[in-house]
Parts: sequence; structure tokens; C-alpha cells
Amino acid sequence: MADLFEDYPFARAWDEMFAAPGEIRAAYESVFAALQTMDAADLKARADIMGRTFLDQGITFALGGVERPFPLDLIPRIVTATEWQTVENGVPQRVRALEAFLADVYGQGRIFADGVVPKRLVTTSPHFHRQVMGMNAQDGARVVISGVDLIRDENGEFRVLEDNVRIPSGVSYVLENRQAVTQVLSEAGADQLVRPVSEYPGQLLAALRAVAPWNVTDPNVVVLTPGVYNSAYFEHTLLAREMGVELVEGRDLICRNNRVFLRTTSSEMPVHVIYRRVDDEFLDPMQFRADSLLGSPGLVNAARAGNLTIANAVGNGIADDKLVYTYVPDIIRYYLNEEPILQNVDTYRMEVPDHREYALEHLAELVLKPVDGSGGKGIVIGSKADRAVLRKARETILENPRGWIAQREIALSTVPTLIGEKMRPRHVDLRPFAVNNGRGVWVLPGGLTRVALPEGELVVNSSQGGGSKDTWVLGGPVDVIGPGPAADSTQVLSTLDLAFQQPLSPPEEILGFRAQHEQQQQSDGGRGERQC
Amino acid sequence: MLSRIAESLYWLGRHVERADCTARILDTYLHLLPAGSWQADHQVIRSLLDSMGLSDDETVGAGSQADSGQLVRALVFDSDRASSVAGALTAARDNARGVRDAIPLDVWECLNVTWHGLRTREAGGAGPHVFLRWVGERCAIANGMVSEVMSHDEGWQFLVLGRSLERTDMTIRLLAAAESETGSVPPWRALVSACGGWEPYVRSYGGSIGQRSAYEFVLLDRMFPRSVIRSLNTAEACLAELEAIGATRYMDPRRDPSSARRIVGRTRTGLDYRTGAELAADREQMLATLQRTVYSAHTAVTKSFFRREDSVTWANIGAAGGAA
Repeated sequence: MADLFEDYPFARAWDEMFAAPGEIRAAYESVFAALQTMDAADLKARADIMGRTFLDQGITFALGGVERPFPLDLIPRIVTATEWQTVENGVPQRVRALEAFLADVYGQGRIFADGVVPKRLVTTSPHFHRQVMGMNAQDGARVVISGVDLIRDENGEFRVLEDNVRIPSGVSYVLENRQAVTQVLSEAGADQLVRPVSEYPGQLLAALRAVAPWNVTDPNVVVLTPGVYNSAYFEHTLLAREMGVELVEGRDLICRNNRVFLRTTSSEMPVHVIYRRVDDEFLDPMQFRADSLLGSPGLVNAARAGNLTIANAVGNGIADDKLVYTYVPDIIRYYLNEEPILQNVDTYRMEVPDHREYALEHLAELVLKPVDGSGGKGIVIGSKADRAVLRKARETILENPRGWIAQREIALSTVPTLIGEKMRPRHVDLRPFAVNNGRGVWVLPGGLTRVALPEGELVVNSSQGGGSKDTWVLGGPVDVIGPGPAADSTQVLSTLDLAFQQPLSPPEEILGFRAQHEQQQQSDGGRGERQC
Repeated sequence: MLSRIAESLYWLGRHVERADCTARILDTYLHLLPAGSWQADHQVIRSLLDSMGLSDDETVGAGSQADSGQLVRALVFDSDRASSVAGALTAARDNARGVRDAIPLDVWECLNVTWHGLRTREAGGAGPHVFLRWVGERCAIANGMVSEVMSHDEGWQFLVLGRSLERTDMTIRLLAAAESETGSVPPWRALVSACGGWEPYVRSYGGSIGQRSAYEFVLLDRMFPRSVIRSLNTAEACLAELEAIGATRYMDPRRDPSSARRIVGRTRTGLDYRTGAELAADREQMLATLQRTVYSAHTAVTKSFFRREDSVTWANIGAAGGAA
């Protein structure tokens, strides 16, 4: 064993590199071999070069007003083709179910009538917006971009930790991490087929164009950012640049006669699709917070009138509410008549008396989460909390049972991470990004692996001192690998559905893009006829 | 193109040029003056400060007490002041940050690296000369990237327009301050050097220098890229190009895209058909005209290209949309 791995500790958690002490899982062999030739100083030097590059290029996130590079650990996290199949089938299933749920909630409400989900649960959510009730132009494509957070439990099974169907962020790090790791650690992946992530912007643009209002032939897509002070501003610029669309701020937009325009140097340019990175509450001062300067008054009316598509749709927050999360397996069964492919983490609803009673007795073994929290805020990990904290948690729960859930504490899987001079296991999660064009859901082969850098820490959020890793999804026996990339992608892209369901081999980007583009036009026509 | 992006690019061009020019001017005068006379009570310094609009500024210490260190700090390193070298570079970087998706990665990276370098360079303690030279290099890289990597599209025209107007402006300010006594070095030589044109000047005029030839060179030289007439020509060309681009599209009738070009062109013609001697004789009025030109051109550009509509009011939405 290399020096780097000396005294590598093992615990209850599933380690993704080692099956047992000294026994390396097959997928990691080439990485391990590459690491054998290096020592800690070597790796450190490479990591420094990478950090410098990130800072110079401004690949940063803002924490407390200071721009920092997002800490990237060099050792990639590897997912085999077989393991990935679960994700590639499970995530679309979940997205489809949540789409149906959202359409139903803002439509007829069948699921309430059938008693599967209590209506009270949805209407008490702060993310339920009456303002978009009855809007159905976007049904099936409300969740264009989603990030379902996955973890692997002690047996290596993928489980869903939470759904993000509002504004999941982090995909820019997936793209940048891949570039950085291939630049400084090129020897590691030499003999494996790692599936590319670079097709994401193309897929996203194709989907955004596909969900445009039906009567527009050449839709104009823009990315709406809150501005340079937003912590994810870098990501907004990257996506706009890679898609070749305008990055706009609220003050660039103007709504008139239920149509939306951009202010340009000559006159006003119509906008048809807004990929917004602004929260619901700030999007439209006419409907929500009247003091917001981040959005533009009239956007929701324009969407209601069918002249604008907002992606993701307003009001999606009810679907990633942590309490609704506990019902998602039932939701999947109800709408799709399928068994969930990805399991939830065992969760207790604090508003159900039996659950609450059990949870209050076993507080020290559970993880408590506020249902509307994000960024790892407010989470209480029972086994790590002292008495006073637990007592306070108990009081808060009794005060507002709707506001909390409790989950079994799961030892997240670990991946070796360079800590100081040594490799140490650190807990990771995975956020695969999925793009829904209204007809199919495409999952980016890769995703954001976040790693909790402090020892034993289970919260991996970037605002809590987390780092990230590049995620390699291996091509393999389950994939069909064509003879040549160009010929292959033409075949794969010959129909839109295929393009979204099958993994693409290394893309011939321009060709693929044009093919998708043309298909958008066709699919638009199709949608139009249906509606007439 | 978006008005906001056009405006940011215009200011990006202005700020980079301002940093570059200020650095060159300060470096020249720091060098030429005998040691110890770099003080606020020195005549040249006073008129320079005057021309930069800083003469009444307390913090610069333009009054009487100022020492050279304080002055250098204020003009070079004070990043809160938009007219200082560091301040201009910070402003350029902020503008670039707001339009990151619209400029090439290389340009952004260059400005970002420069901005990160400001603090370390200042702390490096190698003195203003080294710092100013470094700034000159960084600006040259930024300008090189803009010219060689960036597509020469509408946004580029705005950037170059901003740069040309700023260049004209800085040169005029320099001319206004140039008559003052510079000690051991003749003032006209200082003027030409501060424009970065000493070598080409010597080549075309020989070593002798006087007011007339210096004026002629700085204002009217057709070959020197930093002369006023060249800068105005560039600005005019950009404006003509922008007008042509706009002509292919529907134009808001309330805007007048040719107003700025008329203003610049009129003054440029005035320079074109006069001699250096005539200009030197009519010095004060000519400088006033030039200053007014730059200012009105800037206002015209802002009005016709960056115009923001009045913000929408609630009543307005109800009347127009009928859906409120």
C-alpha cells in the first residue's frame, strides 16, 4: 500500500474505494495505481495549481461576501456503469412522479380526493403559491432542471436524501471539476471510459427550447440571475456562456401586454423562456414580495397568458418540501403505478402522533431536519448533540410538528480524500442533475459529489465547509459503445426520445446540437397541433 | 445586445484606459521631477491634481501639508477612488464580472488576475515605479486580449468607444496641466512622454522640442495611436459602426443613434483642418471645446444606447396588461 493510505481507518460506513482493508474495488484500480507513483507533496502541489486556476478564473462561490474557490479534492469518486443504472432509471421516475404531482396539486387535486396525500400538507407549505393555481400550460415540464440528492447507505444502496426541484445549483462545478481533474491528474483515468459531462449545456438549452410556449417557432431563451452578489453567480455566467444565451438581470426585463422583452441598445427584444435562478418570492413583485428588485413585475401574468415559460415553474417548492418527501414513494405508486427504484431514507413525520412519540423517545439516534430548510441549516444530529440541544429540539418539535421530520442516522459512504499528508475517508453525497424536456428525462452522467471535510462530519453542504469531488460515471457493459463517435451520435440522436434516454457516447457536439435543434422545431409543431 | 451589457463594456474600456493613462502619467512625472519635489505644493503636481478634479480633496492633501507618500497612496493605491490606478482597475474588474458571459474568458481572467494582484503588489513594497510598470503591462495584456481574442462585434465597438473617449479625455487633461514648470526637464518633453510618445516624437521632429511641435504632435499626429485626433477618429468609427448595426434592426424612435457621432465628428473636423500653430495660439478655447466634446459625446451615447425606460408603475401595468 502506498504511503498515502497508511493507517486508513475503516468504520461502519460503506467505503467506495476499499471493499475491505487492502482490497480495492475494481473501478478504483487505475486511480489507486496512479496514486502509487505520487507522494503527498506531489498531490499538494497539483492541488495548489488547481486552486490558483480556480481563483484566477473566478470560479468561486461567495460566503459571507468573500469570494472563495470551491474546495475540490483531486481524488475522483467513481460510479460503475451498473450502479449508475439505478440512478439513471430512478431519478427520471422520481421526476415524472413529481411532475404529475405538481400538475395535480395546481390542477384538479385528485390525489387529495383519493386520500393519498392530505391536502393540508400542501396548502400549509410556505412554497405553495395560490398565484399559479390552475396554470397548466407547463404541465409535464414544470421541473425542467432537478437535482435529487442521493447518498449511499451502509450497504452501498443509493437512497434519496431530498429532492431539489426549485433551483438546484452546482452543475457548474461538475463541468469545471472535470476539466480541472483531467488537467492535473491526467494519468488516473487512462484506461477507463469515463462518460463525458460536457453535453449538459446543450441538453439544457434543447430542453428549454422544447418547453417554450407552443406558438413560438424560434424561442429566445435567457438566464435570469439575481446579480453578481449571488453566491452562485459564477454558475449563472457559465451556463449562459455555454448555452450561448443572454444572462439577464431583473432590470433588463420589461413586461408589457403580458409579453416579456429585453432592453437592448436598439429597441426591445422578445423573450420566450426564462431559466430563472431567482427564488419564487423575488420573481415577480406584482405577485409576491412587492419590494423585490431581482425580478420583473408581470412575469407570472405573462406565463399565465401563455407567452412565457418560466423554468423551473413557480410553486415547485411544494414538491421538494421535506414533509412531502416522506410521501414520494406513495406518490410514485399513485401516479405511475410503479414501485420506487430509489428508496427514501427512513423518515418519521413529526405531525403524526405515533411517529412523534417514537421519535421523541429516540431523539439521540435520529437526525432532525426542518422541513423548509436548505444549506444544512438547523439540522440536529442526535448522536452528536448534547442534552441541552436535544431538550431544545424536543420543545421546538412540540411547538411546530409540521416544521420537522426525523430520519434514521445513516453513515454516508466514504471516499478517500487528501487531508494534510494522508488519505482519509470522508463522507460524501451525490447530486445527479436531470433535465426534463417535457417528453423525457435525461440524467447527466456524473453529478456533484460533495464531501464533508471535517472528520466524521455528515453534513456535506458547501455553505458548511464542504468540498467537492469530480464524479466519474464509467461506461461499461450496460452501454452500447459504437465504433466511431461521429457515426454513433448521429444514430443516437436520430430521435429525440432516444437522445434523452440513452447515454450518449462522446458527443460530436455541433452535429448533435443541430439535430436536437431541428427536433425542437418538430416537437413544437406537434405540441401546437395537440393544443389546437 | 443588452443595454446593461453594452454599458458595462463601455465602462470596462474606459476604466482600463484610465488605469493605463494614469499610471503612465504618474510614472513620467515621478521620474522627471527632481527627488523631493514630488509634493502637492509643486506647480505641476498641483495642476495635475487640478485637472483630475482632485485639488479640493482633503484626503489627497492637496492643500499644503501633503507629502509625496500620501499623494502616491491616494493616486495609485487607493482602490476606493475611481480616479486612482487601483480604483480604476477594480472598477474595470467589477464591470467585467457583471458581463462575464459576454466577454471572452481570457479577458475576464486577465482582469481578475490583475485585481487579485493589486493587493499583493501593493504590499510588496517595491515602490510606485515597479507597480506602475506592472499596471501598464497588465493593461497592455487586457487590451491585447480584447483586440485579438474578442470578436469585433457590437460589444467590442462599445468597449473601444469607451477606451477612445477616455484616452481623449486623459490627453486633454494632461494638455491643460502641461504648461506648468517642471524643474530640470522642459515641460513639453514631460507632456509628450506622459502620452507615451517620446520616441515617435523624436523620430519625426528630431530632438528639439517646443510648445508648437509638442502641441502638434499630441493633438494632430496622424500616426501616433494616442494622439487626440487618432482617438477621436477611432471613436467616430466605432459610432458609425454602431449606427450601421442598429440600422439593420427596428430602432426605438425616441433614440438618436447618430447624435454622438455628430458631436465627435464636428470637433474632429475642427482639428483636422487646423495647424499646430493655430491650435497653440487658441489654446484655452480649444481645450474647452475638446473637453465639452468628450462630455457631450458621453451623454449622447448614454442616452441613445444605454437608455433605460422609466420604471413600470402599478397603474401602468394595469392599463397595459389588463391582467393585474
